[in-house]
Amino acid sequence: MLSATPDRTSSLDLVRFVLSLISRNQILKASMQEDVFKILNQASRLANNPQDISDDLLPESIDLALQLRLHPDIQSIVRTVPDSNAITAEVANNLLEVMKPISNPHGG
Amino acid sequence: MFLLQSRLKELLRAPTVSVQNEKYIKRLIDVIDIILQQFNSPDTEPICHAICRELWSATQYISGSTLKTVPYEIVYALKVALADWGKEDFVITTAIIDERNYYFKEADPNRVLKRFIEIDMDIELIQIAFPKLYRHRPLYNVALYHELGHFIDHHYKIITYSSLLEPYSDDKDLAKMQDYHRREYFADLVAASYTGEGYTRFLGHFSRDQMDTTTHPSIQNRLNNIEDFLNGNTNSIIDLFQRVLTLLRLPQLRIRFESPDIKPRFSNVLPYDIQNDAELHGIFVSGWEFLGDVHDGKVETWCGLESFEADRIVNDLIEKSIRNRVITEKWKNVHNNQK
Repeated sequence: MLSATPDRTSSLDLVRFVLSLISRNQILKASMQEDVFKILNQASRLANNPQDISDDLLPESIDLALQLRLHPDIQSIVRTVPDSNAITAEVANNLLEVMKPISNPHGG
Repeated sequence: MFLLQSRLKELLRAPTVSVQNEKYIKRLIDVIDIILQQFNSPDTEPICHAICRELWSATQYISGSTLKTVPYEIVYALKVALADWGKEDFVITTAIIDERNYYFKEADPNRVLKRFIEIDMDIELIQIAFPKLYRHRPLYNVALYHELGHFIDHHYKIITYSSLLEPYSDDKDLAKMQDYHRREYFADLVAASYTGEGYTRFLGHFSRDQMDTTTHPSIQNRLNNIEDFLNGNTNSIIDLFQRVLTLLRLPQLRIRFESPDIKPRFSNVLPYDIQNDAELHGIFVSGWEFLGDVHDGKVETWCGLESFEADRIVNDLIEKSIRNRVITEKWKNVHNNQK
């Protein structure tokens, strides 16, 4: 908008939603779990080195990278996830715990 | 979901629905059929809700996008601009609002659909809204190029990424303001790259005397930044944006318009024959300049015309020039396809 706050929804809503399904042991397609892992992985690399950009960079990874920078507690959980199978209900719950209260102070 | 589907079917029956929107609405109706079949158990209810939310947001402006209300000329120009940013297959839906403001809203049901049911909508959707009063005033709708800038930023996460490279202040309130301002500067430069001084003239009128606020830099700072860009000068903001665009493998911000000499045609109240895409964007620059000349009494044939009337006719000539370009391009495409 020209004269008011731009309307921006976070692309992380979908990641949070998938995590909430995992945390409730809802059966998901393997590809969805892999997708979330990819976002966590890309975000973690970006947060450490913003120039480490992969060809298949997902927009959600950039949003999450910023969250990782702002909230190191999320980063420490992400580090414990070596592959998509490791995103258990417990891990998903832990991630949601720290991701939930975030209202991004930087917008986006 | 049933209600949404029935509403879409109603819209499809409207005689004024455009061909492209019809295709999009039909696809949405099919997708809802699949969802209703696949997600009919209590277990799948949350997924169904999530999809429904996305589809709902994708249909917000469709009812306003009838043949009678779509401002084709500016929508066409925006589509051409979006192609520069790798976005070619999408539908633009429009809403005409009473408010004096502009919106550019992305709706991407694909994001959810691809992940949950492996369906690709094939088409992306962009929703724009602009003031009713400016429906036939393309010169005032150059603001939509600014909104296009917000869309590009939001879609590719350009400013969010920039904050990884150059973080904001540790002070949360200040950081928030810096983020908003960076986004505005970026959107301004996108608009200026297509419509140059046409955009600065509009901005000067529209946001006259605007001081620094949390969400927007002062008008003076915005105009200074645009001026730097248009004059080929650089500054820390422009440098940062160009660096981010390079790293994200996106096109650079650069001047993408050529202002055509419309004066000989417009002086005689004739539309201009737009030669290429650069002139398509540039006609907004020339149009604002011509309008200024008319107001200053520099166009002999237009002397004595009331200001409001001159404004209406210049905007009308811009519309006609773009419309002619659309028709010519369509004609060429048909002709080429027949070869």
